[in-house]
Amino acid sequence: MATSRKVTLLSSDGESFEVEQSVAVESITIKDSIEEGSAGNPIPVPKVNSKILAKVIEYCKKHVESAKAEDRVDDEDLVAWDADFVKVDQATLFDLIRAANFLNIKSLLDLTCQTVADMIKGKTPEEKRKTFTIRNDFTPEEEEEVRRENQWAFE
Amino acid sequence: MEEHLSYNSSNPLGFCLLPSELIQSILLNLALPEIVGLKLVNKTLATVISDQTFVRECNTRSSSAAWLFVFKKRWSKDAMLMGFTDRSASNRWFKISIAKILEPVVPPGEVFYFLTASGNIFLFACNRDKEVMAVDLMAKTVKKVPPSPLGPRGTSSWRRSGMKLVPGGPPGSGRFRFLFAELVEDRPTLFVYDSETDDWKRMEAEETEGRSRSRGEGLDGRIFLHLVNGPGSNVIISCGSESLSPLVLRPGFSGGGNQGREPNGRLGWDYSANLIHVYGDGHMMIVKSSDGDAARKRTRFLERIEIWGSSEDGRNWEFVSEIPRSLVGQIEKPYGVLMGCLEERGGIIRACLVSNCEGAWDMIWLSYDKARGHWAYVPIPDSKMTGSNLAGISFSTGLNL
Repeated sequence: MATSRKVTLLSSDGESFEVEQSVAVESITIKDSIEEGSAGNPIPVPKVNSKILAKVIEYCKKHVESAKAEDRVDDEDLVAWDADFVKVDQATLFDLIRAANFLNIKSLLDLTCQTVADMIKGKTPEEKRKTFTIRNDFTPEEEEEVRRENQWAFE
Repeated sequence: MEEHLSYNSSNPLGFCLLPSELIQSILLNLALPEIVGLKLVNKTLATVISDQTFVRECNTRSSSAAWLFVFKKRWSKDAMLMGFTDRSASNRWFKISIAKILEPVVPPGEVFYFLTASGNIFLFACNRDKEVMAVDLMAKTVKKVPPSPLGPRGTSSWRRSGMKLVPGGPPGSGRFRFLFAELVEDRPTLFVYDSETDDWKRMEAEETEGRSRSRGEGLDGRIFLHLVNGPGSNVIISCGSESLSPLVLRPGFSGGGNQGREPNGRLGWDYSANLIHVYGDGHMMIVKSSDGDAARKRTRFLERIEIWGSSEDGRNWEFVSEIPRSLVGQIEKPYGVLMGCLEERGGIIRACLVSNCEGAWDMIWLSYDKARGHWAYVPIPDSKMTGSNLAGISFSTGLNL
């Protein structure tokens, strides 16, 4: 097997991560800057701190490995791994969404967005507020107006 | 240990702090009623959801979505319209509130039957006054459809006729056309109501027997209204969506290369009483059930399901596909099919088979993708309809904001 190229990623808080290039280019943002020749060495990743960058790298590694595996990793196993991967606190989840968006990693963005959507499904407005600690800033009159405009969706 | 665990209300967790495009990406995983429901949470979300680009994206996805609507009734009060979509996002029934829209217009004690729907328009037949009401969910309006040239019709007449509701303008415009087929003095006749002109057109359908087809006249994009449905005799009116030109199709099973051979004979030639036929959009689904063993004699089980479609010239039923045995095996529960509904849209045939076992309703959604030759079974969650009546069922597209 040929020696795979490695690149170094630098998180916003100054920590370095050495990864295989094949893993790094799961991020289209990084892939583009490498191809353009504009990537520094190490490649700075602003807006993404070391904790989140470590998670993102973990995700990309797993997905690159399972695509390459000679005995194909069971789809179901990968789905289970993904489900475990997103069992994090909300703040981390939102940071992962931001990172996946900035780094342009579609599958991670889809996964994290779906996870948040799953937290929203089936809840009443009050339950949703509680889940995400959102304050209701409607006056009773404004709330009544929203209900009336979209009558069909509210009992 | 995790950081960020302080649920201090003055430091709300990030959801509403995410950029609006990311909030929108999250919301697009939800079914439309759920998205609209979020408008009530707080002002930020209400604004994000009202954004025009987002609304357009929701509507695009919604118009290609498939929804099943069911109207359930317990006595004449307590009627509820419910919707279910096969998009993975949901997996629950959504209650669609129509009572407030209908109340001002409809006399107390009137009994409704849900006929059909398309986009935001839902048609109901009023049994007592023999009227048809078109409810526009978004505009929150009810329009009385004037009686057709055949005069006021009761629910049982409507249930017999093939009918179709089609958009009469851009989505959300509230314009629609309502088509139905009826035999008038034995002649298949098409009736079309246009909400723009608020009147009816009546056209006798032309027989295709012996008629030479003009070039390029296939069955694609045409509307099919099933008129007579019975073993050995099927009459369908097919018409264009713009220029109507209704034609009569009389598909049968005579001759042709479709002859079944026992024991794997096609159900099309099986005239036993064990079969249920469900019709729609130029297609027919044949469902064969068998009795359970002696101990479970009162229960029935799904055995075979076939789809047939009308040939281009309208003369024959052509076999399309049989559901794989493995899929029938997945629908393991005892199942006595009573009735169902069927639609074909964008090359996908969808059928809902309804059974009632000792007061408990159950529904199965099956899809067949003609291009890929692929069957799918969409499990439908419990509709909690036990003890209620099913007063209408229909497939439709999603709503339009």
